[in-house]
Amino acid sequence: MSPTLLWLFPILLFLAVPVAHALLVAAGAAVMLADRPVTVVAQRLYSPTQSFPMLAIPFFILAGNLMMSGKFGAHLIGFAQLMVGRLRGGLGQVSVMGSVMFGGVSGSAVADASALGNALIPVQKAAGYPAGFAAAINASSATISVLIPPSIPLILFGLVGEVSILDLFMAGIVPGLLLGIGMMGACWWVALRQNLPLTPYEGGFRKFRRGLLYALPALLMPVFVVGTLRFGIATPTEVSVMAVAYALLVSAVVYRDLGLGRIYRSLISTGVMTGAVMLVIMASALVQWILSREQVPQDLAIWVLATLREPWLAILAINIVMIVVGTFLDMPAAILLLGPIFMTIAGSIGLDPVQLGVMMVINLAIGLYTPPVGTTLFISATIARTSIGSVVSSLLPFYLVALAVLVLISYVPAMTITF
Amino acid sequence: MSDQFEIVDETTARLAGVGLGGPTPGLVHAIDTGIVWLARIIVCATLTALFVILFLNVVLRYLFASGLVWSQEVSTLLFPWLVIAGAVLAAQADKHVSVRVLVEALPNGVGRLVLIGVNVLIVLMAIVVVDAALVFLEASHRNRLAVTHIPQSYGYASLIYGYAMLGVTALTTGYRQVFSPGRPE
Repeated sequence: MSPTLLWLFPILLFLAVPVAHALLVAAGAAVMLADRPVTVVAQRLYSPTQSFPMLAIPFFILAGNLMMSGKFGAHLIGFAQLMVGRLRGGLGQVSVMGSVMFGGVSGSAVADASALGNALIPVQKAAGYPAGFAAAINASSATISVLIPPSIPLILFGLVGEVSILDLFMAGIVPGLLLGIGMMGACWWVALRQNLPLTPYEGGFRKFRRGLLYALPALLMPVFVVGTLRFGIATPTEVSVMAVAYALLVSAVVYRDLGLGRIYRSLISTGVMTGAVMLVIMASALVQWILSREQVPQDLAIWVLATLREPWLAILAINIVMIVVGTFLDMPAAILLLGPIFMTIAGSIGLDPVQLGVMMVINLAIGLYTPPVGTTLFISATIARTSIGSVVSSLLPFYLVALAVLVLISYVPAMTITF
Repeated sequence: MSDQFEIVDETTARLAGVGLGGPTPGLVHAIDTGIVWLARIIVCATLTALFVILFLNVVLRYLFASGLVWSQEVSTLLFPWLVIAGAVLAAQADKHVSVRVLVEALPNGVGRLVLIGVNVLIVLMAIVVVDAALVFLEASHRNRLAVTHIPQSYGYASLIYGYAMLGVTALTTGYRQVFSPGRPE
């Protein structure tokens, strides 16, 4: 079955068949050509919707939507501006700092790219930042959010690889912060070279204290998520539901901007995002069934070990494959398809599964702002009203930062430490 | 800070049917409107119900050391409906990720033909999945959940609803590609 799958899927993908349908058609054709009962298709499609931990996905999305659609978002950006706005390239660094903080409530790079991009790219352009650079900062920094807990891709990797979601969440924090610091450095360097304007700081300590108080409920969110998981108080699904309750409570009591219209729009938006992600997961379940039935991960692991021999070479090969696949395929599909294969290889070379999970997410995050298919790249270029080419040429320092962090994570296990 | 509102607006924009021609623009518009509203109702109802059930369960468990024994079963029945109705809304809003580099590089007419072909393929896929799900549903119609005794087929039916709606959405999208002027959707 797997040969049919392997040649048909890329063809369908390049003919603009949506990823979820391309996976399903290719896998369905493979099942039918092998004379397997067609009910397998329905059975496998349905199976991911019966996973209780998967329920964490819509609720973390809903919590993020509820928070980011209200005054929460504006307060976070305001606070980021107070923290780093007056540094050289400060408006760019606000984007990066904003992504680190938004990551703590949303867990979705695409949501962050459009929320922060709509708020900050026009301001950066008005202050004299080139449109391509403004879009490049937004496209790359938005991906930090998938490393700061809660993270949808890390939940998916945890489920597919049977790895502790708590460990993955904790292991993502240091790389996420490193990416943030590195990208802020990149903003500073570019601003210095291009002599971009400074943004004056107004208001003094009193304004800072006020900003901190308003931003605090959002800043506490990742602490709450990791804390409740770390001390075994609740499961990921329960934490996601409590996060929604927390978002509702803070909106109603602290910011007082909760209305039925906003709840309705957040519900619909969550439905759309959940549907788009889960349809890919459902189709991937059928593909996984075929691959594991034919022992493809095991065969590949044996081949990799026999060919590459050295663990560092195998890790390099894993990274290259993930980066290449990530430029074409969106995150959930790539995690679900490559996860089981790389878990088997990691097991045979002694690579920690938690480290592999974080490596995978960093790799695939680079794919989000790399052509030909880069979601945060497309969103940012559209908001900045500039060409993809001009954004890509401004992305070079951000690629270098991401690759440097990737090398560190891949070869220094202590970087993905859990506590 | 209003990016997620755009998704609702986009489904609404499609429903506005701007520039829609051909023999039955009214019918296509009515079908899309019906699909979107039904999916919106299912998304809001299932997501709200899931939140209430799971939140109650958390409160009961941590404050009173008890819980709703049926909560997990009902959740696994509602979740597929949420997912599939969301997937239908995403299809109506063109939010399913696809690689369009090749199609966009092609001349306008050829690109449009490819996209029409994609929708035909999706319709065929939907027919196969609905057929498979019907067999699956029939084979399991006597299976009931352990605690609530609800037939498991209530959950499986979501696949039939969802892929039928995805198939019809592909038909109306194909219609829009054939009869709307300008670049394909």
